[in-house]
Amino acid sequence: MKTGVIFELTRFATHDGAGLRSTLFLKGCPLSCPWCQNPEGIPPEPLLWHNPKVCLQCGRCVAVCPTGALTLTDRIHVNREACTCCGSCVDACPAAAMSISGQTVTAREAADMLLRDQVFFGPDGGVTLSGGEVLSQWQFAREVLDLCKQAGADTAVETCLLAPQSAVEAMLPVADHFLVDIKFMDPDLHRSCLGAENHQILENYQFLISRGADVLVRTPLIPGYTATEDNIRAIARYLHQTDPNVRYELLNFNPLCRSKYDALEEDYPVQGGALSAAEMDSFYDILVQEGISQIIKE
Amino acid sequence: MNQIKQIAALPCPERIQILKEKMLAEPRYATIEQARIITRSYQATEGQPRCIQRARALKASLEEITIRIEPDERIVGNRTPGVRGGVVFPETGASWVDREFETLPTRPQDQFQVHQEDIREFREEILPYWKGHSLEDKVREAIGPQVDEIAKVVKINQKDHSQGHICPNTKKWLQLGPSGIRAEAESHLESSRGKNHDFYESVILAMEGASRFMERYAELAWEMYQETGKENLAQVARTCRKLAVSPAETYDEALQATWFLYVILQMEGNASSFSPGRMDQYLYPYYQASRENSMTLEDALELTECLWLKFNQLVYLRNSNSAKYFAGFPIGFNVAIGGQNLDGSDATNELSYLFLQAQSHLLLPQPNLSLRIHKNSPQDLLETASRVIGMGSGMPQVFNDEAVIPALKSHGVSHEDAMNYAIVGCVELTTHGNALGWSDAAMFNLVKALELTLHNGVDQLTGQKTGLDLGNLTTYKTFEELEEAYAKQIDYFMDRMVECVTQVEKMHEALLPTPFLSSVIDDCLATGRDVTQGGAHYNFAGVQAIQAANVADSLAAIKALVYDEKKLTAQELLDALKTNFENAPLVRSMLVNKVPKYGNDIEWVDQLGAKWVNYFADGLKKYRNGRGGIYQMGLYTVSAHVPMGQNVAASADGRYSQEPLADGGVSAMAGRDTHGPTALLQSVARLPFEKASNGTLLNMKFLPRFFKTDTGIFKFTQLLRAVCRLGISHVQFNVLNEEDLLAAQKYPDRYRGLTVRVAGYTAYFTELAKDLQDEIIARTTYEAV
Repeated sequence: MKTGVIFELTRFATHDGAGLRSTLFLKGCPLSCPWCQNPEGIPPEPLLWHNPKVCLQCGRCVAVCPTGALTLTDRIHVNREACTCCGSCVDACPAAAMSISGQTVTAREAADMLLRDQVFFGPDGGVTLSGGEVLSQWQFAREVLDLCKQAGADTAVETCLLAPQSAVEAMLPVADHFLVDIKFMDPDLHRSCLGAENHQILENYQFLISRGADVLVRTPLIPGYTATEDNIRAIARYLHQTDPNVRYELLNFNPLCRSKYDALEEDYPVQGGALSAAEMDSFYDILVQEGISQIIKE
Repeated sequence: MNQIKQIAALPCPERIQILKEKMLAEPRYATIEQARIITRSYQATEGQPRCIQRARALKASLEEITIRIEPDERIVGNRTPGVRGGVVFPETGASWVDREFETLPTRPQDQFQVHQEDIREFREEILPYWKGHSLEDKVREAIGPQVDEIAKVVKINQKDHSQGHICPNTKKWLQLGPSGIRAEAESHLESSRGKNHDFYESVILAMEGASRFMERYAELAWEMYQETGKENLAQVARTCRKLAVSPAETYDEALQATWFLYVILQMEGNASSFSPGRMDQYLYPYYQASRENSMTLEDALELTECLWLKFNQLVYLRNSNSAKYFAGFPIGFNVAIGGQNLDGSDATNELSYLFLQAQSHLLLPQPNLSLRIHKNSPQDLLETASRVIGMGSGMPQVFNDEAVIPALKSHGVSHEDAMNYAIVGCVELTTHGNALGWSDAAMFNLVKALELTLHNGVDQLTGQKTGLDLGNLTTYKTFEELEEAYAKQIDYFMDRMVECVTQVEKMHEALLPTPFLSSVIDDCLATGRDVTQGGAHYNFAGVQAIQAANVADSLAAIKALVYDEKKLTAQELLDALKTNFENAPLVRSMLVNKVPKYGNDIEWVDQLGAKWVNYFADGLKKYRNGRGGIYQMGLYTVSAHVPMGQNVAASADGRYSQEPLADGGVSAMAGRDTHGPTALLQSVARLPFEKASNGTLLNMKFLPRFFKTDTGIFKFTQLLRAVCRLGISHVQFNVLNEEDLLAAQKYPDRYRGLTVRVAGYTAYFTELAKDLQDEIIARTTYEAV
């Protein structure tokens, strides 16, 4: 049985597909979106997570760290080069301010975590795999979803589609729905901003459409990045050309993840907050102009 | 049903807005008028059987109490001239009023204005007659010391007021009216002897008073009609005159008759909660009749809302201690909607939707609206109810037929009665019209019992030995030894509790027969026995086990840290508890953070809670109550988790000394359920709901944004259906407002589980930066407007 590395389970997920769902987040992503909501999900390997908001600053973690990776000044600082994620500090911390983000589990264990809330799924809810990037662990993902399907659960995958087509194809029999993120249409912008080309993404999207998969496309509206008229118009036009019946959702920017960057002692590059209703409406107007008929709103 | 959409579109009638504003603006007074009448009546009837004395006192009250009608009212009746008056009721409690009268306007909870001359009259004319003779004084004289000795573990209730929490047979009242019931009592009178004869006579007296009360309203309304020409007053006069002599036939007559029933029950009993129960069922024939005879939906809604306002006009004057346990003057007019018919088919009808619409317009604390759901509840009903829940009044609260009906049946209730169950007071379960449930016999503080078990029976707040000395945490060599001692401690207090409750019941029988109430509880009229003598078909007594979450969390922490992992010594933990963690913040942090907590779907922890709740329920089975029925367990506290927490020193779940216990009844400790609502519900579902037939209470909190979209509403209904499948008896939803979120900023420990769900991940509110929290607060406030 395959094992995989996961970093979070969200139960009662209400925004990751239809109905009430459980969403499992897989580690590792080929993109490096500057606004990423789950920065701890980008690297494939485990990561020490320190939560300064609950830290008592007792210093027990510093004392037990075998590699001297921790220091206590105004707060606990983590030297990521030195940290081996051995977990000594996690055990020692009386406040549960230390945790390891990234846990290796078997596909069975992952499926059981997801299915634990099956009683809540109802007619249209189910399980969702998210990340990180699900397809970076596609063999594991396929096995997890297969087990969930066998148990009768509806299955969905949230993906940026940056993966070999074979990986996408492998998901077709086990995923009932694909929630596909398309961020930029312009290839140069995609490369310079996210660290990778988008042609593979678009090819995979066309592949999914050609195979009749149930696809919802989503674009996060990030001020200063994706939330421009040109970008949204270009994506909408492309989507409509590829699939005139495309279901398309614009996700308003949500600044809440900034607190994660604070915890990681990293700067968060996005300024400002969520788009106003009026701003959202002007983007919806663009979709209408480009002929998108199935605009999905929360 | 096309009607559903029509009903949902009905606006709040102007008449209702006027009446509501006027009602809320009127100051609330404590009044002694009825006390004066009752005292005079008792003086004139000395030496007569108690039930006759009481019936005559009620009759005098009904004939003499000052009555008032608002010019715009369509449903009339009150037991005080002012609205929301606090009634001094000397038969049950005069001494506490004497002690607290001056403090009523300034006490922290449930204040009332007072007239100085009332205080004087009360002390000079009323108090002397009742001193030593009220229920309160008689109970104190008989069992005062016993009650005090166990008070920190067991709070004995019903010591200074009549027993309420009763769902009378309103259907019968509507079908017979006071004259029909009087005729029924008269038919038994001749063949009856002794006490039975007295009982029937007392019922007849009560019914004579009831008819006269209605006539008086008819007279006043007619007088006012002649002055004002207001058509509603003429209608009121006609209705009241008719009801005094014959049964109701139309919807407005049935509403008016229903309200008279509840006013008179309160005038006789002054008890916390007489509940109408399944009004959408027994009022439906009247509603249909009127609809067929040209009543519009608008008119039906306005009449309904007139009654809804009335439910808010009777409040309950409690002593200051009791007001802490049951804050907010609850008098608990619990109205149940939905549910099933006897054959298991869904019982929802247009009235169910009208009642929800009335609630969405008024958003007042009464009636306490309860929605019965089952596995085939219509989606329309759940969606309509979810929208009303999202408006933030905490109503309707949700009861689950799939859990409640089996629980009732396993406690001796017939299938027919179980299918027709209702709710009384806050969350207490009852059959319809044939039970004296004595739902609040006592509250049993299992957390305090654990404290005594850990510390040689010594109360850590007073230093006094009040429990059994079975050792302490250092002398229990294994966790099992600790559990054995805990079981003995519970047994000891349960024995003593039952002795006290039995005594209280006897006092009620001797002092507080209730002929009017007994006339609308089956089988009292058939057997000639008052409810206090066990005349009801079902005779239960309910005891609340408090609080599963703190017991589970405390025992889990002790088991894991002291016995299994040995990260703490028994002495270290005892020292930390004794000093309220003063010099042991890290010990406390370990207790809180290093052991899983109830409410997170961690089976072994939840099972510790379930185990002791089970133990408690099974223990109660050994006893019989004073009316020959069984005891049953409840799992709810209403607001009592606060004062009951004040009785408990620092506990092993990391709770500081005298801090509140977990709220509700089966909720997790505040801030300790961090895995979301599904995990909480899975934990809760491990408790033995089939044994908690007295009622349970689960509080859940949601942000208002969840209810803003159709998708959100739909997902919420899916959650309700899962509650149904999980077999959880009750859940009530609080929609968080600005105040709650400000509190979460200030006290993050209590709100650890509060999450903001967005696509892609879930943010814990308390872990967000302050400016982000502020933004959510701003948006919550904005959206709530």
